[in-house]
Amino acid sequence: MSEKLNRFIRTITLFELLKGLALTGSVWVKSIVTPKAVLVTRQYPEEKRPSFPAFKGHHGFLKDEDGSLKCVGCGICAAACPANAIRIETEEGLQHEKVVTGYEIDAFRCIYCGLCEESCPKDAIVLTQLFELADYENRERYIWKMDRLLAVGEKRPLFRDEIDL
Amino acid sequence: MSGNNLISVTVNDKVYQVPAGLSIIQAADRIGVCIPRFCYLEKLSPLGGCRMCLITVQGIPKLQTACTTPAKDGMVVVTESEEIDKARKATLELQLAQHPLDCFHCDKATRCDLQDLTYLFGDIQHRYDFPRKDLPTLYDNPLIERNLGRCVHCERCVRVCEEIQGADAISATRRGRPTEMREVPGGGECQHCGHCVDVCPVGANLDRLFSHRGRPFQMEEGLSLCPYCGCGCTLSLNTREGRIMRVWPRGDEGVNHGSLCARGRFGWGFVNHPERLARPRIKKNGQLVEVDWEEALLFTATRLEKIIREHGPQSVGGLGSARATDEANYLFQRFMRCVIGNNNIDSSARLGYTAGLTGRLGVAGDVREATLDDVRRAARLLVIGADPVETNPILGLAMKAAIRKGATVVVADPRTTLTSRWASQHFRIRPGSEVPLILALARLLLNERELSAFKDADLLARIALRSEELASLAGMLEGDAAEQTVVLAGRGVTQAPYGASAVAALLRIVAKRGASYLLTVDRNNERGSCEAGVLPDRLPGLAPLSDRERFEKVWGQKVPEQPGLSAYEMLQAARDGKQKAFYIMGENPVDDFPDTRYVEEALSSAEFLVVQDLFMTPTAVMADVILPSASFAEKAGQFTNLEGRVQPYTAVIPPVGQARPDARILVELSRKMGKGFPHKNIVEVREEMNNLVPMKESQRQLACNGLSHAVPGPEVQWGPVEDSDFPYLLLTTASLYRNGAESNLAVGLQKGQERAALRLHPADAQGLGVSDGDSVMVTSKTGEIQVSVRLDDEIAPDTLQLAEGFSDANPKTLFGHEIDPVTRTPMARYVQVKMRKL
Ligand code: SF4
Ligand code: SF4
Ligand code: SF4
Ligand code: SF4
Ligand code: SF4
Ligand code: FES
Repeated sequence: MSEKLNRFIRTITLFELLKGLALTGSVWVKSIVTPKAVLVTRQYPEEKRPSFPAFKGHHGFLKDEDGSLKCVGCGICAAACPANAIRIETEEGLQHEKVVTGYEIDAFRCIYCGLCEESCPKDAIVLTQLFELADYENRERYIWKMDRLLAVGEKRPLFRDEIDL
Repeated sequence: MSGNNLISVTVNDKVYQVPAGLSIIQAADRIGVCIPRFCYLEKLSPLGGCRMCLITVQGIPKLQTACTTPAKDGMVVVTESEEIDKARKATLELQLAQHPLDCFHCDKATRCDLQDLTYLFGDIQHRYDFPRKDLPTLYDNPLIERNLGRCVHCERCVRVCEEIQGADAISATRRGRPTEMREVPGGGECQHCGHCVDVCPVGANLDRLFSHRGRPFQMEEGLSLCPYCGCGCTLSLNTREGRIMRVWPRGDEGVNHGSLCARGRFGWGFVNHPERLARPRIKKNGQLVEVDWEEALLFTATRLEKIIREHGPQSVGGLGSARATDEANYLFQRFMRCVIGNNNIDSSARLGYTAGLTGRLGVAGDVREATLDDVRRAARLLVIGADPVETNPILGLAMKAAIRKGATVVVADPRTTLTSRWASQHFRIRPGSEVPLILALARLLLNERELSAFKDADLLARIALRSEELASLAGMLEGDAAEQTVVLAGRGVTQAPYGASAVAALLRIVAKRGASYLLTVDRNNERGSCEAGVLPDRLPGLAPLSDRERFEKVWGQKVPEQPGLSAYEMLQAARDGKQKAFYIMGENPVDDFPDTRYVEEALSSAEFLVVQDLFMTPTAVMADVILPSASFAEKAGQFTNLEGRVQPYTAVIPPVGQARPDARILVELSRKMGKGFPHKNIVEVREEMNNLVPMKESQRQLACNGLSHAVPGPEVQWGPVEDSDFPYLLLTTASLYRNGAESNLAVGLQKGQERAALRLHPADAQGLGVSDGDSVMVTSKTGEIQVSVRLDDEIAPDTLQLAEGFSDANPKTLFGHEIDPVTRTPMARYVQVKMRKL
């Protein structure tokens, strides 16, 4: 009997409603008093937060101290890639050396596992913190060629607007 | 194997029965026990040098090398133990201590035995600290890189070059650690067979066309057949993204048993060549312009129909192709016979195989045809007017294998060739006397009265043989060993006047003596094209035209009764204004047929010329319609090799641009012309063909007419007539590096030999004041060419030798266009020329 009574009183005093409103009100008050930077919902793209250092984003291609490509075209990354997203072109140079003439990441295929980075014996390729990968225009924009990868590797941008791709 | 030949050996505590006479490593390979090795290779003589194959044999205290220790009955062998492991690791450690270890850059990586064994053994110590070998990489061979530092001194390359290729081009120089495997001056000349690349267990010998262009694991492999000569070697095409990257043999597969020649291995460059025709073209206002397929086919159909309407079906002539598949040729002859309505069908096989076939069809009964394996096993080889080492290099290897087993090789040829250099005896007969030689042999061995028109002395003088020499040649076909004698005949016989009579006579000798024969075949599908019916007087399966009802029933279309014209008769008809149109599928008569000017004039006097080809050949340039066709790698089909072996294969890469397989073009064109073929794919074509021609062999027997060919009378002029205006005699030869238009566009073959070279005797060169490399102008009655000379003191004075196939100096220009009345083959073996220095 007391159970029923209890429910009746709660119903006529709009207890549940007030309880919910109290939560809403407290969040509202909190949102007014707390500083903006601590807010959980961010106003992306006006407000951006960098990804964590271990984030696996846009690939970057690295150079060594003398400014030459670290990559030697060994193809291990392409072999390691589970999504078959890497394409490497090499040729024989004038001194019979191996020259990397083309390196492409197919961003449609890549699953950002980072196995290329992990497998590379020359530390030539990294997955950077750049996470803004979406693009307008055509499919071509998603086949990342060597110049783009080098630019990203050099600049290590956190956000897309830091670099002109 | 009978029980007597088996022995039992215990390997790792298990008893196995193995054939007697094997080494331990061979026995282990057969029972599936793996023993690591560097230097051992089944097809080479054992060396015992690398010490990777160490094993223990019970009762012998020290470790033994499995590759040099014979397996004996009751032997107890252990292939894995701690002691063995230690010894093998020590060997590897020594190798690795000196190895450059640049696997990142090495094109062998992931297919490298040193890598594999290092992984297999895992923890290899590094106790030695001597400096790594600082040896150079040699690039003096245009096609093969020799990275001396990576060499593990297994000497496989040295042995394969000597024992299989017979080139003796590589030797081991210096001793011990700095040993170098390299080509040395004074050694043999490299023939670019690439065997040394195949057998090298590491990245010390590498294919330079592949150099740094990709890694082995990125390649896809597809089996195909070589598009060059009649041997029909099996190729493994390594492709990446639809392009051929390199070619090698696959294991021991195919008639080539894991060998290839320079053309097969390095001649693939034409397939993805930038000049490949990618779209159809038709002539509009004198200009060839690119159009789409629909327009090109409609245009062709309309024009052909118009010409047939106005001038009758006889006014169209067709050349099928000694390069195209059996199926394409089969459809081609059906197209000509049923859609166009005549039998004017021929191909460039007319220059070679057709004449031999005409001779063959004149001999009733069985004549044993040799296979390549028969040649390998032969005890005696008689080679007449042929140079298999250059025309059919794998047949050449079979011959060398026979020589290594002790076979006697006798060559009768006016030229000095790579084959004659291998012969135990070379009879340098007079140019053009191959046929009288065979007739003289026939007279001796068959005692035929009809041949008595020749007085021996007289005839022999013309051949330039003494009667003892003739007797010794005849001796090759006598006695018990005759059964193991193989007679090889080539274009020297088939391109001569009365060539068919000579082949027939030769086959009768061969049949009577129980020997066997093989005709060398220059182009990959000369034989298949003939057997598919690309002949003016024979239907598929070589059935005579009188048999046409059977074909009409299956085709549901009429087959004309009247025999057609052969190639040169068509050309003549065009010059006479009777032939109005040509349909040329995959042939390049302007370059390949003798008397270039005559051919050009004939083709240009035709109203309408259709050419189906891969490239803008000199023939295609004259065409009104060019239909781009797919190369061998881009289509499926079958080729019939020189032994008559029918070999199907499949496409490996997609066609370049809009190119289409020949068979598909013909089917679509037939539909445009209102007499459409029903085939939906190549398999249906093949089935129809095979049903019609059930057993190629028996068919050939049925088709034999047993006619005895005309025997030439004494008045026939054999060989050239002396002419003081043209004092030199030019003989044509074949080249390892060229075989048709495609070979001139293959970068590997250009690197093998860049330009044609006219070989002449130093005395002649002196008289003319030229030395090696100088250019001369060679002029005959019909044409002239400019070519550089190469001195060769083995060549007979007053004769010149020039290889066919080089586009920079084409000897075909120098020849006339006379044809033999029986074989209707033009003569293009020798011509009288004069020469002046440039
Ligand atoms: S990025 Fe690294 S793993 Fe990939 S090819 Fe270059 S060097 Fe090799
Ligand atoms: S030969 Fe083998 S071990 Fe040597 S560098 Fe090449 S792949 Fe590596
Ligand atoms: S390519 Fe052939 S001929 Fe040349 S060195 Fe190698 S094995 Fe000898
Ligand atoms: S080059 Fe290759 S095949 Fe020749 S000896 Fe050296 S490792 Fe052996
Ligand atoms: S050209 Fe002849 S011998 Fe050479 S690989 Fe091709 S089929 Fe074989
Ligand atoms: S394989 Fe036996 S010693 Fe080399």
